[in-house]
Amino acid sequence: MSEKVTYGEIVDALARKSGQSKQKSEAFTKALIAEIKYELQENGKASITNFGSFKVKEVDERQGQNPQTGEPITIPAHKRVSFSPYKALRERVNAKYAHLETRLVKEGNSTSEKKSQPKEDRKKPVAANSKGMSTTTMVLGILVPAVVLILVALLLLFDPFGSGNTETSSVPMPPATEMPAQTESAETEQETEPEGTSQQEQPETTSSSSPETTTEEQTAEIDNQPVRVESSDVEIDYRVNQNEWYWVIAENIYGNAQFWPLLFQQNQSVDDDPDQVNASLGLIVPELEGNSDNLSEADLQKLATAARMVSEAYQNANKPYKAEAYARLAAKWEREIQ
Amino acid sequence: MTKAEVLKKLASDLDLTQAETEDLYDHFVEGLTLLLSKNKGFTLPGLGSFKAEVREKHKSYNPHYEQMMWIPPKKVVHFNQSSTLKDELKED
Repeated sequence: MSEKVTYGEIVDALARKSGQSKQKSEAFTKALIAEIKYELQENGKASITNFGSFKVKEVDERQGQNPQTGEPITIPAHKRVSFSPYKALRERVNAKYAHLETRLVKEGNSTSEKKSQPKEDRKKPVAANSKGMSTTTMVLGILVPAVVLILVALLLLFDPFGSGNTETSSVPMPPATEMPAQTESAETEQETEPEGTSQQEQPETTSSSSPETTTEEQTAEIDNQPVRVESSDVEIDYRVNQNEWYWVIAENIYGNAQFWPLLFQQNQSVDDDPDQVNASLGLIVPELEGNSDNLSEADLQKLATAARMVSEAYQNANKPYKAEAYARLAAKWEREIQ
Repeated sequence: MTKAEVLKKLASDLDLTQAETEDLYDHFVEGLTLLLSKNKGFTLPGLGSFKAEVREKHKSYNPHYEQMMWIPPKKVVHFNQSSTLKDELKED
């Protein structure tokens, strides 16, 4: 795969670059290698500044098998030299891939699968020409009637007791927008309380859904603007599952784990340790104007201030290393504004 | 052993000034780094061979967040000791 460069070529290149004669370059290279070997034998370790370090490691005796015949053999204890590159070398070599980040695994894990569904639905109206459209429309096709049915049934059941009028008028509007929140909360309830009776579940969902619809209507009226589908997740209380961290939640909501400072800023104060999520809390989810791929200036500003706050919180929590990292993140977003 | 000590020793061995030796040393390291970053492997005789390879994207468990994560591809340097070095170590 990767081509090889010979020793001669290295020496030639060194002579060219340094302006020394080939003999001297060759002598230097040889002497340096000899020096490293000497160090390894004397001290068991050696290093080349800005390149890497070598270390002699003891390998214990172990059982192996002859790769040709398959018969078991004992590999005696021996020594081997390991090499670990220094940061400068690591970063130079990896430059092409340095921008990549770790992501949550979506498939396989059943809980994350369920949570990814609502996100797809929310994204769908924006990226209507995406390739996964056929599957999302299928999912929608199943989910929309189901949720509408549930809503209608609940309204029929509880309308006489509730205040009524405003809710009935809002029925046709919310399904597409509200559906993710509702299905999710219903699912999480089933997960956490499998033995819970259906009677318990129903009142809960109605109580959580009806205030939402009213607040949504209010904000829509105040803004006097065409409300986009995306902005529907204004201030949904997000129910925190066990073992969920801010960035896991941010991944689920925004599609980008890096946006978690927004959640922290909205729900916690500077004196809290960002590594502790109070699981009993429902989170208030701040809204973004754009989406994770296309951020507006105001979004970047929000992200930057949120990251600064997280950085401060880490400083207070006596984690200077993390504080520094988030200060850098904030600086990155501030740069993107210009 | 620090770089300064190595330079001092090499300079006296090779009959060069320390500045010249340092110049050679820096160019040598820079050259090797450049080779590896351009995906070219090489062998330092008597020591071993170096090559840079892409480690593919893979799943891994993050114990802090208790989640399975996708680790993105990364290019890493591999070192393989030469057989002469192996034999020399065995004799000790």
